[in-house]
Amino acid sequence: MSTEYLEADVCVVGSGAGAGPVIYELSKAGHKVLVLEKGPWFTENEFYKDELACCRRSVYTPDLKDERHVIEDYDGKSDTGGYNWKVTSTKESGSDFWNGNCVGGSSNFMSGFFYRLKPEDFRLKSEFGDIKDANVVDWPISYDELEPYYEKAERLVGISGKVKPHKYQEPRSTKDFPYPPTQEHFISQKIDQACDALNYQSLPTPRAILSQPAMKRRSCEYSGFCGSYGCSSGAKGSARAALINHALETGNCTLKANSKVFKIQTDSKGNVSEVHFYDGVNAVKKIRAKIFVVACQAIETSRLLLSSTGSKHPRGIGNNYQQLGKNLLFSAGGSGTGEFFYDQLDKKQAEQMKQRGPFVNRGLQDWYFFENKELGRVKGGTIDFLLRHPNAISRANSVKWDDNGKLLWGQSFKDKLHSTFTSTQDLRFEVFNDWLPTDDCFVSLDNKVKDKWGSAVAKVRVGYHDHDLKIGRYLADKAELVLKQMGAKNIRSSVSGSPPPNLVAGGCRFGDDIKTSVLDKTCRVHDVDNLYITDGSFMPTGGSVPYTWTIYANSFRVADVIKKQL
Amino acid sequence: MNERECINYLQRWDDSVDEEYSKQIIESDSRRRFIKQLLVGTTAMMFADSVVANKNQLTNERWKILSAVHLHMLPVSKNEPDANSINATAYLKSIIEWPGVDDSDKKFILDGVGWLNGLSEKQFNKTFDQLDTNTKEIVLRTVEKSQAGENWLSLIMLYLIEALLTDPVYGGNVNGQGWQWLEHQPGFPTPSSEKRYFNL
Repeated sequence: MSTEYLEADVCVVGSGAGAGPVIYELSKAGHKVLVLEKGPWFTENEFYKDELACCRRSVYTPDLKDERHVIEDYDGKSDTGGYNWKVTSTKESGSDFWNGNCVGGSSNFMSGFFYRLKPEDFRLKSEFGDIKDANVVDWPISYDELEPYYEKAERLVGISGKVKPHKYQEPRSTKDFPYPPTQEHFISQKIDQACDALNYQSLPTPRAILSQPAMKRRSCEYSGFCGSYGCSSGAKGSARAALINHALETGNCTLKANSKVFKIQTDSKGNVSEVHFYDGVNAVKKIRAKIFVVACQAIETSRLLLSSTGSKHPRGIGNNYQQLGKNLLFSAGGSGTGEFFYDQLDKKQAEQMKQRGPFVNRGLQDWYFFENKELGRVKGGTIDFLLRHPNAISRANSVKWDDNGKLLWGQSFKDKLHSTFTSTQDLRFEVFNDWLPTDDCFVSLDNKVKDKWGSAVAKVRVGYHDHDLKIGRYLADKAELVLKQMGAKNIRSSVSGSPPPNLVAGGCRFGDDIKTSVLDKTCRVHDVDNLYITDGSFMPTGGSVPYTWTIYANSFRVADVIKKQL
Repeated sequence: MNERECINYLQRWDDSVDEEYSKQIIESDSRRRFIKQLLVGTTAMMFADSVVANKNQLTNERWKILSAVHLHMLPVSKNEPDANSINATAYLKSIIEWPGVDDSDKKFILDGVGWLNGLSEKQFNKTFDQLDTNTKEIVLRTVEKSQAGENWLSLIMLYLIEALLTDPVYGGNVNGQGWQWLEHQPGFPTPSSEKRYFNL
């Protein structure tokens, strides 16, 4: 049987936020780049505000029948002092760990609130010391080394915002964001007033969403359906809209959608020789390149490396010291909500409150670091405010159960539905704090469960550290005070150790020592000359903000390293 | 049909449904999962027997009965949409034909009509659609007492809610009446019929 080989200077596996900057930079620099994306290729012309497509059918993610994850969750303490783990596949639980498998990856579906890390995030161990049962380490690079790339991402991805100095403001090489803030909702000024009264400093949230047309992309059109939905104007700074489209224009980039990589082949020296993938009709194809880049999002990147054994890498690439897949990170914290009843507002304010489209764009970082009696001086986190997600079907579906767990139907269901939808605007908040790296959160391969191509699926243990809950609760209590000050009713919040599958990093931490890390400081696999990992996998600790801006920035940084090597 | 026979009948329905699938329906509904955790125990059906279920295979009857279930769940009331005005049954029929919905769901929904109607005939000697409103309520609340029955009703409601609030391009929510009633502002752009999810 003849095998078709494709050749390129650089082969990139994945096309999301971790891949986009490398694809963009190397294509612009004149190198031949070949991109393999497992999912299909949607453009602005295929993104609609359609709740069925977005959120109720498997359109942008695989059918769980075909591809699933196996999750190991806490199931009480064991007799030996450790924990028991309950093993459930996501097909059984319906708790999906896919986040967007298509060109541009999950960056198509983010809501785009973007924060940089702080300088201290790069040296948490030095700043705050060890935490028992957590694997906190300093990064091998400093904030200063990443800053120019944060700036580059700001410019090329297109981040809208306004710098408002505050006590934990990270240093910036430019004065302000390249684009003014996106339009803001009426409720934003109410948050500001409440924060002023509480002596908190409300901050405008930077967004990776264009507030004016630029770089051949349209401005945001303010439909009010942003997170979970693909952007039809091109304003959202997905890797696809902001970077890959421009890379394709150079003529140096070839993108193959529906191409599922299942094996990275290494040679007798341990370097990558080929990548093997199934094309759209499930035929096996092979690629040869000088340099290979993997960015499939943290869980799948670890899975691919674990699956890719070779004579120099008998336990998978980068796993000779059994570090691969370890110290997986999610984002800790929780969320809360408060309700504003329209009938308690005057008519004009009620109408303003109902407005759909503009962003809330407010966050708090007053407690990014804090000190109190119980915890001492610790790393805290970020609070972000947002309106309730506008999806109607999922909201109505939760109305069908009464408080006793019985189904409601008939006129009583209709009445409850109508009152739920028409009485209140709900202001929510989300808390982001560090998901401490521990030995109980990692990726391995499941020996029994296979995907539709017959490859072992990723098994993910999702244990968390109790410290995360204490910090999350501290922050959620602060956020509740803002809602209370605003006059919201039915205020409640929850902080838990449930991992948010869309905020995932780690598994291939970078570091100076091969015995304790998978990647070197340039994000090259320690004992492989030509393999780089550029998604969020490299992060040894997560920071207390969404990861995407840092992933973009780091990928721009690695692109400069690869340019020198080519 | 006495209570014991009724319980036995519903138990046979429970037994005919794959346990994993049944769990999956509960798990996939986070609100319900939450409530389930709060409640201590559920209705225990302990009288399994080995009689093979007598399924109702009448296809046209089936849709008539589903339509009656829909209208009972979303009844006619003044100035509000109802199951007929939003085309709920036609919407469900389309869903059964389109890709994207789990085949197990489709089978479970269609089989369930037979179980519901079987109960109606055994208890009241009438097909479900011929019952008056109060009797329909009795039958549905009886069905709800079994796990399979509750799961079935929950799924029927999910697709009824889809029919109420989906983009009208899918055949439900005729002229956006569900959105108008609930003052829901849809996003834009909305899909044309060529851009429905299964055409993407």
